[in-house]
Amino acid sequence: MIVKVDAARCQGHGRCAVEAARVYTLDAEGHCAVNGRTIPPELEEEARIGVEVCPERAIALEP
Amino acid sequence: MSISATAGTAPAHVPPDLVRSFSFYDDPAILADPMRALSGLHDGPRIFWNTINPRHGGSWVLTRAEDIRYVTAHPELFSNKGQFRMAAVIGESWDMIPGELDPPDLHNFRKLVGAWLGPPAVAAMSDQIRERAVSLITGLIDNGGCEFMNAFALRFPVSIFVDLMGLPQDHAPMFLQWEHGIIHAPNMNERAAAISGVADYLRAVLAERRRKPADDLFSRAILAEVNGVKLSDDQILGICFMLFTGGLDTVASSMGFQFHYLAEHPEVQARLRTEPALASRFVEELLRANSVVVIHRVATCDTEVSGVAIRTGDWIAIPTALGSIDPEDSQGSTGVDMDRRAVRHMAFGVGPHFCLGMHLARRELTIAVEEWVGRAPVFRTDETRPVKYKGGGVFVVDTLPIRWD
Repeated sequence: MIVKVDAARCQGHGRCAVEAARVYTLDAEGHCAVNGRTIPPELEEEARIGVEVCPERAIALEP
Repeated sequence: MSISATAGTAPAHVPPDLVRSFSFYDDPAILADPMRALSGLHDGPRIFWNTINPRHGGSWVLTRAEDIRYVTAHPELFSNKGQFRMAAVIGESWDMIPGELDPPDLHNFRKLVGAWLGPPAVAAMSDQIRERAVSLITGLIDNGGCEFMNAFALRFPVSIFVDLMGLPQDHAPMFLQWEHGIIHAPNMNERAAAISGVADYLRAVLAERRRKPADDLFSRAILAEVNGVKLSDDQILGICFMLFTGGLDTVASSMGFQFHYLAEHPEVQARLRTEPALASRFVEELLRANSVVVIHRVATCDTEVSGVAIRTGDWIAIPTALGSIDPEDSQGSTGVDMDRRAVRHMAFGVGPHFCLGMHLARRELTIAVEEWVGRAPVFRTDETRPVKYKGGGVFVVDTLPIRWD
């Protein structure tokens, strides 16, 4: 599973990094910094939580 | 000129079947239960023209999260300029910053103000925020109960604003009075007087800090540069005014809804008492179920939203609650579920203007919950005195009488 972050949509709310801290980290300006990251199976559920809490719907997961 | 909500007529380009007259200020359904009244709008058209909008004449109203994301994500089509109508009311022309800026200024000023309100800055203020909460609560415990809004929800955030600005605590009551005037004044003259009161006060402090710098936010603003240029008095005023209006009634009202829920659910108080770490989850879920702010945008060109024609200069009202509880978008319901697996909401807005004060707001709200359930006896609503709401640009809990069990 791979994380896809739409940089045009991400505004830096930072909710992903709070609710799913083992998957998502933020850059210096608070934007999601893990575009393209491969998620190990044991963190897939946490990765989904990050997708669900994003107010901008900027995060997607690809197989 | 009265602020009370009267219906105008819809412009010619609005299809008649999309015209409604629904007062966010004083519709009986809003006064009875604002969130339930708002959720009822999801049964109607996804976008409609509301003939009642005291701030901007009539306006469009967005009801769906998807449309709210679209409009807020396109500041080139839908501008923030003039949305708060503060300076204009007193015959002045400064912008609230960054809330009334459009790109590219928006980005530069958000970076500046964001640094003062980001997670590290809020962490540094945390102990003082907690002290303010504790001292207010301990002063109330022997009373057997209180009117929560006046006794705590309004006073707590204003004390934090005063600390943030480096002002003396005994000026807090004055800010409370001005806040009341800006939000609830019965007529435009009184509202203008309150706006002038705040603007004159902030200008006087700014002039004083220009003469004699201190270690506070005014002095940091004086030293700051955006694009290599120092800020003007009007720009610093716009920032400080934004901090004032952004963080008071919004936090107080969110707290009102949260404590109304707690007062009606002693079992949730009990759970939070044994599991204090759940306080932030509680706050988040309650922000979702009770998003109190209505934001506005103005169309910069002829365009459309969901196939509906919007004309240049049309105002668009966006009740964030409708995005937060939209059943088409999320876990959307007004019902509270502490064990919801993921909480998504628009209480702090979406798009490039989302609330810069959200870290501070979350901190204040979470500390309030932690300290109340940790220190006060179990509390309930006082059945002999009704809970009252008011509508407007922010849906507020006006009166919340509680008593200890």
